[in-house]
Amino acid sequence: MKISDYTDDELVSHCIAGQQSAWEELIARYEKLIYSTALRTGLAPYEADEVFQNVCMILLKELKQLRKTKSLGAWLVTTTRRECWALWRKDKAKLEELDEKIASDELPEEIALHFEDAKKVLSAFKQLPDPCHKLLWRLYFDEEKSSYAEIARDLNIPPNSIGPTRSRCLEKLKTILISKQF
Amino acid sequence: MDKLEHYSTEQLIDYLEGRLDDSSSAELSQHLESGCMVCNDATTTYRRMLSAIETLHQKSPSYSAHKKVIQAYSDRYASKPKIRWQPYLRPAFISFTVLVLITFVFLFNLNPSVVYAGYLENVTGQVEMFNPTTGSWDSISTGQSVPVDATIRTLTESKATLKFPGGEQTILGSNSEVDLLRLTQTNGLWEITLELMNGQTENQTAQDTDSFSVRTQTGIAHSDNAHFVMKIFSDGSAETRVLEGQVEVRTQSQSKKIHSGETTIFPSPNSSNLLPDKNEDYFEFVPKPSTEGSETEEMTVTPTGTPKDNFKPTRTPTPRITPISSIPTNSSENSTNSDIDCSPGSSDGAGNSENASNSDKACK
Repeated sequence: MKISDYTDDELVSHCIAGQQSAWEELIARYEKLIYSTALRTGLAPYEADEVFQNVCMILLKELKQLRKTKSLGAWLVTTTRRECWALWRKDKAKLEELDEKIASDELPEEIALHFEDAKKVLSAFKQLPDPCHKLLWRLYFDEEKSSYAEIARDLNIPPNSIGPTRSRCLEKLKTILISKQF
Repeated sequence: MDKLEHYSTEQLIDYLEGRLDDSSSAELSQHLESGCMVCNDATTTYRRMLSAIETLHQKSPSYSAHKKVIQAYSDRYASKPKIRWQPYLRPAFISFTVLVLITFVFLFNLNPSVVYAGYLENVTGQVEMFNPTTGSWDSISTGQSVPVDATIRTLTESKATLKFPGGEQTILGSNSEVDLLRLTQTNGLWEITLELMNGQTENQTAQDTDSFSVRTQTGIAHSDNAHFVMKIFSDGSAETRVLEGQVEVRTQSQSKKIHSGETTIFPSPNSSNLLPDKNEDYFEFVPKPSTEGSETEEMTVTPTGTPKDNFKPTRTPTPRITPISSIPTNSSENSTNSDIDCSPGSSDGAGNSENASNSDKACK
């Protein structure tokens, strides 16, 4: 079993047992969640970096208490928001702004659920054969956004076939996801 | 669109991505609100999928922050990364370990004599090592190793220096024979034991010498810091002469220490006139000899033929002692057990600069 296939509980247990790679996987799995949650509260990137480190230190200290946590993602979102609040606690204006943003934002469980979904989608995407894999990569997963014309040229397919092909590929992706209780 | 008809995946995706024109988008919204379960379910699933993909594009913290967090775990748990063995590597690792263990056992337990060995330097003339396999004597030359339990001998007008790993050395004069009985190292200190069967050796300890012993049939000379000569005469008596340092000499019943410039004799056990009474000192102490050149010429021990069997004792019972390195080499009739050169141009007569001072004194 690959370490990337471990559940959160298994990862936490291996971290407690002293397995460095389990910790690295845990951080890789949740660093975007922590960092983006901090950014969503209006922090600058360097402040979000600081909050990220603080949250990870707390995670490290609390590992033994986290083994029975139902949703590690939700716990991390809550902890991140608390750390953002701690960072701004001396600035009343910013604290009010933060409270408003948090109130209007999704619940920690919902934000965590998006990340769970993202993991599942990525896993299902890896199972897609070509040309779906290549096409969906260029359309949705690649950081560098390209036009339909560029994609058609690169993949050597007619531009007007991209829409129907995309639909068929997304249907295949959906079928894989549903088979995994998405 | 009728409630029983459904939108295609392409239309639903375009709707979610905002690619439909306003009227088409409004029409589809109305269809969803009308309660079409199929289109609602499909739209919900695709929305989750696209939202999840969007989540994947969220930014990561800086590399330095990431690195600090990874390092924090190492600092807190201070654990070394565990090796995760591939199943197919385990047998290979076990085999390799067993092989290494067998090698160590072979080298250090079963055949320790090959681990430490002396080696020969400054070989001149005919020097041989006994071959226990064939029962013959094989010629050896400079650079050749001498393992523990080896027996080496020099023939007439031959000599050799036996060097040890700790820096100790033994110079074999002509017609001499020694066994290397022991050569071990403990805590960095060396223990060496030789058995002198014939002839003479000039022995020099080194800084890391724990024990350097030369046995004869009649006694043993032992030191950890000395330069001394051991000589066996044809009647079986043996003498120890200390050039530098201190040597403890022992027989079965007695022991005593002799110092630089002193000589002692182990009388031959076969020679009744030399055997001491029970109450007498077994050792025969010989005062420090003068270093006049005439003494050298008075040495009359003249071995001929093979060293072990053909000694012809013609000396007086208490010979005058001359260091091994000062015995002239060119006298054929009055040759001694050593052929070490004292002629001009020879630095120390023994091929050893450490002995130069003593040898030079003796040569004078």
